[in-house]
Amino acid sequence: MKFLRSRLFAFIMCIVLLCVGLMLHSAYTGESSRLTRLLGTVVTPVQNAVAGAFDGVNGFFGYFYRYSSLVEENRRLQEELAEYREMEQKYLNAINENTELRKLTGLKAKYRDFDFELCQVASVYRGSAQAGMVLSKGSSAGIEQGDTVMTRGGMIGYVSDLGPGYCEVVTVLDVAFKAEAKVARTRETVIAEGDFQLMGDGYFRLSYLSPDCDIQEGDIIETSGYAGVYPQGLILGTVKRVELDSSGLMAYAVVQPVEDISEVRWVYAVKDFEVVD
Amino acid sequence: MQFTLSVDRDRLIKTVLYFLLVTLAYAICGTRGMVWGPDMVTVNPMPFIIAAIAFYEGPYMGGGLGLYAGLLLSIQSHTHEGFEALVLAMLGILCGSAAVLFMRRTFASVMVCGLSFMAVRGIISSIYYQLFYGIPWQGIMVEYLKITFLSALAGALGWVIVSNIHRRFTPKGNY
Repeated sequence: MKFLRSRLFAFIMCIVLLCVGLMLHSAYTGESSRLTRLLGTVVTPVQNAVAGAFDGVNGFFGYFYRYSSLVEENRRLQEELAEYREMEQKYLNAINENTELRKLTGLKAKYRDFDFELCQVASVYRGSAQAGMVLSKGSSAGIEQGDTVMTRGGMIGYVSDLGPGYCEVVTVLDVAFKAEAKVARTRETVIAEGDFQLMGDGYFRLSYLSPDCDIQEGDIIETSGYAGVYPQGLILGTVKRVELDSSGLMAYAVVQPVEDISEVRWVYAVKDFEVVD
Repeated sequence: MQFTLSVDRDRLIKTVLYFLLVTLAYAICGTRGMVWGPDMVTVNPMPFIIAAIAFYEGPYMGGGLGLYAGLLLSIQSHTHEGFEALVLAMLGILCGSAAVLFMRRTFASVMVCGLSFMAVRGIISSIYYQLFYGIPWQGIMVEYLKITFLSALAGALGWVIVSNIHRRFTPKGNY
């Protein structure tokens, strides 16, 4: 009884009430409270500074221990570039033909317009089943909850929560990530989602595939754009392999994201978009 | 009077330093390139740092800093806001009020409290992901073991810093 009248008990009750209030607010609104947003806005520049210092050190020492891997990567990229140059002429011919056919049939020209906000990645988080990041800009830059986050290669996630000076991003590796996607080659609609087993290897999966689906290694997976949640045609990743699940009745594809999430430094938050296909 | 003012000033400096330590620990552990281990996990030394602060400074400082650390952690994870703050604050209060009655203020005690917290936290995470995402609890526990091992190493460094701050800014008679 003496404990119930003590200062410590009053302190415990204050903390419990505050935390339960925050949890209820978060559950009801789906957003962070002003307290957390204020903390995030204050602390994110500190993270930026630490990340900048780490990049400086990594860049200096990386010159010594990453040299051979960079030479190998350079050789591989030059081979890929040569392949793409060969394909470029075919694509240009196909685009010209498509443009002429659209004019002939009176179809609207394909059109994509994005309103980007360039953000620095302040921190990267890998928890037990979570893979996310915190960016250096937030609602004060016009970013909103649900906005697509992408790099020049393609989509890597979406904004799950934000404050005035920061935003949290759920990446494609996170178990909470789920998006409707398309196989670029076959136009087949698939579901892209994070997977706990594949997360450690840096992959996600395409689920609910039939065992005889026409998906093969190297296929490009892009956003479908249905329901207008994410812009259409953003590359999500490349198929590494197709496997049967444990039941043997369905298949799934292992997909490599467009970027190594832990190495990304700058991303674009898509504040607004218009796609005419 | 001068002695009292000196103790208050030292307490203020300690509080500021502990806040900075928690903030820096959060910033450093979340930095790009600081994800560690074969599966690239983010270390979490906060339980060990909060336990160390609570052992040396008592339940109020431990609880308050636990609350602050939990709010910071909820920024970068999508656990419900308030949950991390509640569990870390309770850790601080328990270590500062109950644990000090049964344990000495040593490195081993801090590590035991921190590891116990991580074990409980791992069990809660396993149940949560099994229930809501269908992820086998064994996988989550293995992942948590990796995080715990790496976090304990970082937490040991945190204990060294906390004990040095306490020793430097506490009058010799009050250790």
